[in-house]
Amino acid sequence: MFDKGLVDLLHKNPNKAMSHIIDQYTPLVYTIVNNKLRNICSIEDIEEIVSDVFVSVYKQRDSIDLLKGSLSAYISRIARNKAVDMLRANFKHNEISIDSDDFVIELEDKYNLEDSVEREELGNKLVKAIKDLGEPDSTIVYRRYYLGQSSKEIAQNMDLTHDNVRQRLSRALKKLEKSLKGESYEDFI
Amino acid sequence: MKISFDDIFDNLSVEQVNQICDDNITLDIDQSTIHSVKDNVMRKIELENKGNKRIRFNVKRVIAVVAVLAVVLSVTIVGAANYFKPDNSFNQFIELSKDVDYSTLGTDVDQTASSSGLNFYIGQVLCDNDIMVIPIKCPKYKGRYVAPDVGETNNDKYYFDILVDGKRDGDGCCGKWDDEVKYDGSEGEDYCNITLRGLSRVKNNSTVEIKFNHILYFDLNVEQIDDEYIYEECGVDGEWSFKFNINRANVRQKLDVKDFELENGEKYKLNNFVISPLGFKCDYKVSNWKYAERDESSLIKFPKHVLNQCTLFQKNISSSLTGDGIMYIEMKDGTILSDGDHGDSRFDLRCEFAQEYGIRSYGEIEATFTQTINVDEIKTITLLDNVIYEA
Repeated sequence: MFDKGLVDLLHKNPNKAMSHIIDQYTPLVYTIVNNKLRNICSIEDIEEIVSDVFVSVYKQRDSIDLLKGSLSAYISRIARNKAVDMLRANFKHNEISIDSDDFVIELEDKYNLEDSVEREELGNKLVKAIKDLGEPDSTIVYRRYYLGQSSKEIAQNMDLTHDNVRQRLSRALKKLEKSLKGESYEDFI
Repeated sequence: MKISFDDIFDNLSVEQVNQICDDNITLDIDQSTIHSVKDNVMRKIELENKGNKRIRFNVKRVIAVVAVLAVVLSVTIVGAANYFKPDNSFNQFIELSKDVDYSTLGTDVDQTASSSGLNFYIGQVLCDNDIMVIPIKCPKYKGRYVAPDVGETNNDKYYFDILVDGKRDGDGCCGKWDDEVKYDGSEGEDYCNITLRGLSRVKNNSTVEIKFNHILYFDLNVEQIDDEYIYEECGVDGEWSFKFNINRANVRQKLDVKDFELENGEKYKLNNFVISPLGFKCDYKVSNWKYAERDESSLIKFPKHVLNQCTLFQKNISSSLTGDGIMYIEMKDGTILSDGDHGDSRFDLRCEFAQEYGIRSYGEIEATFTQTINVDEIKTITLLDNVIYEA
């Protein structure tokens, strides 16, 4: 069922709509939550958080505006937020440490991420940089850093070799880093 | 200032996510998970819609209800504790300590699989939600014991299948498991044992299916190095299968373990150390690891791909050859378990190590005990001479 139909149904018959939404989006939500929390939560806890995501969708149904984003975008953002909340509740420190297996970049101190405007600006830069990568690299980055899939899973799903994915990811990250720093990648190759 | 990609992604707005998300990506998931989530969500929505209701309690009635519940609960707990008793089918493969509560680990199966006139029998299994120990009582054929072919013959027409909730290794829903088969073919003993690990999705009431179609003679040849088993075709095929539910599987406890640093500057960060009477698993991250130099004076010449790994990984490999041990679990009664030869009981320890982007590296440590332990009786755990846990 398309987004508009689902959102309309959410207003007219919320329970029926939720049934369709859960059928359609549980794989996406589960993937995001599980890949974020599998090291700290049991399967039951993860399923509970997945359920809470859909309950939040139900509660926020009146504020879903398809002009801002697709239902997939809304739901995946709620999923990520819930997973991050759980992650932060379980980690004592928020500073970057070797706890994180994430890619870390060094930006100029001018960025103040407490400020919502600057946060949005950084997000815009990242999104543009990802789109500029082109396919399949942009999908690889989305799968790796938004869905949290491993290089091996991405290779299997995209019919690429594991090495190919890792090389593409490595090059893509360098390009993204340069873009976020405001440098041109071509200057460095 | 340093920032991680995760942080930036975490703060993306709906509009920004919309620009990068790909609705065409197909993600697989078990249908039972979708049903379970749906039931849970619809129940929560129903509760949400009912709103908050104030319920007035009659105090005397509450006390009476609580008293009845307490009696019922205590009977249930006692009943549960007495419900499972491990039999001696495990004895050849794992030593069962007396002070472990097996009611949370064991399942009575009591099934026979018959085909071609030969019966295999599974009486009981032990399972936390990662390791499963399955002794299978094997029959004799023409006077010699036979056991399932778990892949020894490498013939495509033969299979040995284990499915958990309908999924097998490789489908992504059960995690990846390793099977280890031990067979004691000495006179009078007739069991083979299959130990699985990596069953990270086994949960309470998971359904396990075991199917095989080929059997072999297994003989313990004590003249071989490392008690290597040799097998022989017996010429009998059939269709044997078992299907059972695991009663309780969520018995792993999480221990708070400490990070440590080695003299060579390698820093280890340990996460998610989970342990049960059957074994443990732990993730680790390591930084500042360096490529090792080959020790030309050593009798053991490791290949380069082993040298280019962190100390933990290298020492685990060499421990299996030298018997020195890198990990010790000391119990409160003074018993010591180790992956080396110098403890009272030896466990199998495996350290995996992977590098990504050369920035920071990670791995997994997992162990299967050969003697069950009462986790509450652990005094200390030492890894590479560092105490990582103290009760």
